[in-house]
Amino acid sequence: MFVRFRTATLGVLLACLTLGRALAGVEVRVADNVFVVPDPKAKVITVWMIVKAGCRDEEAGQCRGLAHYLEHLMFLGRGAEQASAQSMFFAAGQTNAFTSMRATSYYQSVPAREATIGLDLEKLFSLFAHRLRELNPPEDAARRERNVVLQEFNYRQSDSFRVRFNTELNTMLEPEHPIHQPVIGARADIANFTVEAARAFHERWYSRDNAIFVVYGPVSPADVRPLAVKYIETLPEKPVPGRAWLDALRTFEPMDATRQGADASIARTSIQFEKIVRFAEPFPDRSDAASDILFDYLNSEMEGSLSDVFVEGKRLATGVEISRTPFGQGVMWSTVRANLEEGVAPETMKTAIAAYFRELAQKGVDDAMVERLKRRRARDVKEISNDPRRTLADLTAWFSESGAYADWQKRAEDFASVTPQTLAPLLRAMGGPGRQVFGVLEPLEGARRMVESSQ
Amino acid sequence: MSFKRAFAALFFSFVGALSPARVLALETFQRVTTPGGLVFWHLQRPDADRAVVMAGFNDSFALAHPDRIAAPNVGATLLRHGPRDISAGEFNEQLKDARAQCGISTAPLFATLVAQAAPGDIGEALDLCMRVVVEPALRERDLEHIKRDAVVGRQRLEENREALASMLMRRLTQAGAPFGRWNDPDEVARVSTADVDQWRRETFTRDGLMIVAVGASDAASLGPVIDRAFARLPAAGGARLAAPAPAFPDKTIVLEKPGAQTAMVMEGPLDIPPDQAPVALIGVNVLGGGLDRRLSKAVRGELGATYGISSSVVLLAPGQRYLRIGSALANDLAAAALKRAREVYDAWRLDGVTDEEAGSARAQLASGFERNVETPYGKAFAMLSLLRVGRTASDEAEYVERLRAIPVESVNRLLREKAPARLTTVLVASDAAGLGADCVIHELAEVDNCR
Repeated sequence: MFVRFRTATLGVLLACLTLGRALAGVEVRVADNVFVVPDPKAKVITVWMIVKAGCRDEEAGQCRGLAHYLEHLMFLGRGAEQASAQSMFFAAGQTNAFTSMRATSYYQSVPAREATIGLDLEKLFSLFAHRLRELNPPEDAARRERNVVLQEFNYRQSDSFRVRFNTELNTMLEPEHPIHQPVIGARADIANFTVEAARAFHERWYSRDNAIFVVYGPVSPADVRPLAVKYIETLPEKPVPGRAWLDALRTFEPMDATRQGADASIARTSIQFEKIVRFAEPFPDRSDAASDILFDYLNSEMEGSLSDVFVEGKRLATGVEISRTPFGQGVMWSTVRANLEEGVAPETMKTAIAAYFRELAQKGVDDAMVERLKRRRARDVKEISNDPRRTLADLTAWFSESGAYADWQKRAEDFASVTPQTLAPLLRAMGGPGRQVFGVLEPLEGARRMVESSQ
Repeated sequence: MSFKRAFAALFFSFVGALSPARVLALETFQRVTTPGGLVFWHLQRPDADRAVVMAGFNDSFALAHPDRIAAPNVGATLLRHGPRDISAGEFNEQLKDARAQCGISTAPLFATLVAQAAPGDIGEALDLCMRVVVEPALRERDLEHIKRDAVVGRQRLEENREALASMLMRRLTQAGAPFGRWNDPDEVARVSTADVDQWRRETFTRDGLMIVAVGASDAASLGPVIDRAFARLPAAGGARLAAPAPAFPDKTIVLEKPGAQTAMVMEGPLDIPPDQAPVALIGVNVLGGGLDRRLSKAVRGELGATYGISSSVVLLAPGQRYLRIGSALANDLAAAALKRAREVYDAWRLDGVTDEEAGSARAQLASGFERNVETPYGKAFAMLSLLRVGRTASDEAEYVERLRAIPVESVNRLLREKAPARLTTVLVASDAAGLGADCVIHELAEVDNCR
């Protein structure tokens, strides 16, 4: 049950945080999978449809780019019944979509016209319901769209040695998991896309039970609820297929490998250190919040952070950052990237990184720093909750990563519950052995060279 | 068309008076004089949860010092490392704690300083920002890192063939101005901390200073804050110079470089008075402002030759605008796509746009503008862009109303009379054969041979 109230004063806010209650915001849930973010000042209506199916839901758990091709096809084949809606929305508004490992997200924005806002909203719902129900692109347009996807592939990564190197590192790390496969697919895959395969994916994954809608603009929940009933709840029920492999690692034998790459496009030596660890001990339910706080610290410039140690202190790098790939409970996949200072050997940096995490695991993160970071997160959550535009952005990003609404609602209390002790199991895992690949990118005049070694 | 580009190009008044009542209903900046005599433009939004103070400075350093053209760009980055008596790391962390931001950026002939914070903290954020300008750390090690990053950044940029084509176009058309080269690693390598210091002293002055403030605070309370922050700036600085106008030769230049796509950039001058800029924007939006616009329908929809093609109006400097078309094309369809794009362009220029098309463009541009100025930052940016080209607060406030009133006849007249008959074309392609090249080169520097 969604409890709706508003925090009116800072005092109330602090009380909520202290007591660990969920922080209510501007969004309203009007149906199981339909949310409204009212913004009386908005000049546009935006409707998002987030289908919880991405490239790792493709056949045999392999990411070949079909989900992304389907995303492209969804814009084709504008039937007569959609013609008036399409011409309005494409012409005067904005539309876009994107595909990830986990989801395919679509949105349409149109100017909010006072005289016709109800009609416009209904057209948007009709459009999305139609797309959810069926896929019928003209064959010739679908063929041309394959080439458009190929051009997107060329544009985004074909000429980038760095992107290919990144894929190779991920393949070494998890050869049996689609995580290393690009969402857009490989060139050979793209050339072999068929409408039949796209239709089969649509049939399997595109349903009202597997989609979330978020409506933003100068609209009220009372405006949207009838449309949700008329257009979404009348779509056929279709159970969501199981995802037995979801977030399961395929390969976890310990490994410590190195891969070197050299290319004329690389100007300075840099490293990319990929590591997967599992938690051998129980970890708090709120591991995402703890990971967020930890990575905020690691990426900060506070004392003991990566930058403080490697850039300012040891002067091994000119810049360093760490990121993580979501992988579900009990698993941490982290990536450390650093541009090395002149004359620093990559192996020196590797040894130093390992030592850094071992030492950090022993001493932990200072309580004052954790509290400082928690204050920032708390303020961020509060501002998002009070700002419809930011709520829209944050909520749709959350759903696009297959996050649950209940978890989004309790972000504030999750952050409030983090302590240095909460971080300890995570730090111990990151400081210990795991499955890792150390990538080194170096400049080279002339031909490319790839050298792999593993221990 | 990117809304940010449209945003920077659009603030001009034009024919069409509004009723006084309607003007009063619009959100309009007020001109305010501080107790210390500084002028700033103020807009109060009582509900705003962020406050912004944005300052613009005329910056002719690169023109005045052709041996140190990279100093402004390098300088803006170096200044962001913080003031003298605090480490860069702690400076950044203090800003994060205060949910404040301090930004310094440069564009040809213009530098901008932006302070953002929660309403009650804007004074403190502005003070911190000004310390960066008045007492910068200017550490040698930071400068060395910037120089190394410039090399890395340039390499990465060149991986994007469309960016490479744009660089080539800048060098080709702006031989007399430094802006096409001011990111070159060779130029960056020449800059010293002393150069950055000189740039700082010549640029960040009260001479010609433009200040815009948006937020919950009223003007009376902001006045002393602004006085305190900007009082430390010197009264005058370096000379103000005008940039030489770019020259667009009627040529097709091909840079041969192996790659998976052919990048195409086509540009030409738009010699129009400021009040015609919104008219041009409508026309250019019809040409290539999105998926359903003419270029995209033809080159992506009909040929399947690209993932994206777009057109835009670019403001290089006050009084210097040009039209740009850009795309990355399939190699095997590049010649056909180039031909088709030119056909679409010519038809657009000569036959004009339909009433329906103009209506869609107006709606999209107006919607985009309104969305951008919803935030205090967006509103301040709009106003500063306007001030930069000598326009007024009413021009900004009335922009959307006036845009919606532009008739299609005005758009078509402008296209016929002002859209360039020929566009300079630059391609980065694996093979120049079939592309109709007037000049084929293999390195950026060879572009001098093509003029």
